[in-house]
Amino acid sequence: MTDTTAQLLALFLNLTAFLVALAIYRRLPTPLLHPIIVSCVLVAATLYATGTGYDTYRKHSQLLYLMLGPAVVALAVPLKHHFKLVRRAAVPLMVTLLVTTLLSPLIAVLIALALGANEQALLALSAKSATTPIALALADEIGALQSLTAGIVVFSGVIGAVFGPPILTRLGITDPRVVGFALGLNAHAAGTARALELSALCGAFSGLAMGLCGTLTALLLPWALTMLS
Amino acid sequence: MQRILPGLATLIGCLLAGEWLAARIDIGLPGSVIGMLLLLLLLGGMALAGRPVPDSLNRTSDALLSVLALLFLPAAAGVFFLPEEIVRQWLPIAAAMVFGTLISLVISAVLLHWMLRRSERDD
Repeated sequence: MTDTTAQLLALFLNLTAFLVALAIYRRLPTPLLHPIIVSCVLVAATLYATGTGYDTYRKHSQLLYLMLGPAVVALAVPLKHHFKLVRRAAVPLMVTLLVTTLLSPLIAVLIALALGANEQALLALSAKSATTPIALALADEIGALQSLTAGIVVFSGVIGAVFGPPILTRLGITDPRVVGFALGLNAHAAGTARALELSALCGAFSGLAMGLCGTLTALLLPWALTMLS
Repeated sequence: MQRILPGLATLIGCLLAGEWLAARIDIGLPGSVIGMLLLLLLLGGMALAGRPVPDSLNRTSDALLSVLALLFLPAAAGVFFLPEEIVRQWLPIAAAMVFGTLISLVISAVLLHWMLRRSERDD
């Protein structure tokens, strides 16, 4: 198979898996059948069934990776449209950002520590509140396994994106600014994708939180680990 | 398609400028996040000059963001192909990911909800 054919096959697989997942979600809109989960299951099942390695698939999915960068830049547009609302809530947003950036890795590490995780797992977990591209750069810097860190970040993001909004609704929290900001802080890109589904305002606050939390984690984590050791 | 091309060129231009800056100043930020901040500055500057966000940029950004979940599907599918290190320690890691994420998410939402309500009551 030529490289071009392999890339087209990967793109075809990604597109059809995503379209099928969207169609299923439209009929049965429950969090457990969210397109993020179903499309991942479909892709994984296809890879297992055809005996294709994950690395091969990932390498040939370059086109989608390539568009991820411009998509992050595109978050500036909803942010610009809602900038007045962001500025008006600046102080509560900054306090929440600071508290969550400090607490989130701490809670994860403490839970893992209580259940007997080793140092490798703890290091990878400590980078979990940064979005994937930032977390990968961080893993290098603090000596965590990249594959483990990427897995943890993506999985945590999917959990937060899928189960976060229904839990918050049950707690009576439906303000799109609050839901969006909490999703971006704790579920990064997956959370932002989910927030954009809820509303443009929700997505703008999620994108803002994702960028800020990743930035702050990147600045604070190496320093905090040096202080601890 | 033609109508979204100027917007796409703007996004890629900002991304490249962001990557260029990220390689030169060491602040631990990925180029895409710097690119987003550059575009925000650009749009802010245009707003000061009384110019709205160009229609093409709105269209491109809507189109890209509506398929964000598709764009990171290749990375997310990696959840089913985790390295052996994570499989051996699956219980503490899974508990930390599920409960850690949800506890932290609820704390941040409750905190922000409470502070916003307080500050908006004072207004």
